[in-house]
Amino acid sequence: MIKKDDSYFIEKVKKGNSDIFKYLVERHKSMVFTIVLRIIKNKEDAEEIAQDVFIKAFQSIDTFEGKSKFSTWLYKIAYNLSISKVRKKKHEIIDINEDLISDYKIFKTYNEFIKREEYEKNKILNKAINKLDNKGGLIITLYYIEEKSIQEIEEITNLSKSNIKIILFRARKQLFSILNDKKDLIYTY
Amino acid sequence: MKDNTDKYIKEMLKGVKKDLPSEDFTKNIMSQIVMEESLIIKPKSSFFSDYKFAIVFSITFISIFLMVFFISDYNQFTILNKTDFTWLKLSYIQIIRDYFSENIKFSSLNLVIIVSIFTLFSLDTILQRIRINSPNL
Repeated sequence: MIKKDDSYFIEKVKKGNSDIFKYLVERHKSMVFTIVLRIIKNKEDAEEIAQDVFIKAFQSIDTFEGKSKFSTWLYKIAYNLSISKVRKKKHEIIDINEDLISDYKIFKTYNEFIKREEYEKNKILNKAINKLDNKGGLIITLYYIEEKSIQEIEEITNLSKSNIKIILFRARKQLFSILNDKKDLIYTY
Repeated sequence: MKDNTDKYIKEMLKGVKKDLPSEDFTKNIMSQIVMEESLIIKPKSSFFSDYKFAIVFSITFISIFLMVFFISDYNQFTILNKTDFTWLKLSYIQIIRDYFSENIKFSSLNLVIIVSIFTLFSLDTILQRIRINSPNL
């Protein structure tokens, strides 16, 4: 089955076929949710905000001219909405140190850890990224996981290239030290 | 150092799966969209509903115009005395008649029809503009 481009669905939605929008939601929900979660750092709130992102995107889809990728435009909405929510309501950054420690306790035995699925490794890595500050975690995600270029990150976040590089440098250093501390957990695969 | 850190992070994060929202995430969004769309009252777009006000006015105007024309230029209404209504004589009709010579054989009635249609559309345009600016109309 040929995978249809975002523009195909966007044109249909613009013509009034709103039901088609669900295909765009399905395609981008994971990334939008991740972006929001990296900033909000609370899963329940992130889900609600991520939904608001898609509602807002649907309402303003006529303003999307196709000059940039739809994903970039969408992630920009996600970023802006999340940042504004954080400013309005100061979210407590959940200290996940305890979670990491509890995982460590679970994985104390080498054999126990080996039996764990890839899912657990992802969990640890995602938690490590969540330990970084809002922008650091987001930029690490966009750069390494989404493989976005600095240019694209600039379009999404509206931060300057130099700013992004500085944040990336700091976040990379922090993440390195976090992961290095927990390397035994991760490298037993 | 940077290269090592960069390589290390790349290796670690290679293939990491993103967090997923709940299973009914898409369903919730689509429900909200459907609900919002149902609340939007779509305006009627038929020709007659758009021109309702203008048509009533235009029909009235044309009726008066025709009545005045026949009263002033045609002595068909024997009840009315033409001389009493000379002030109603529409001189522009005469000018148009003079312009169109007998060779063209353009009857007065045809002229009236053309002028009325032109007036109808002009008035419609003006009234539409007034209606756009005053949505209470």
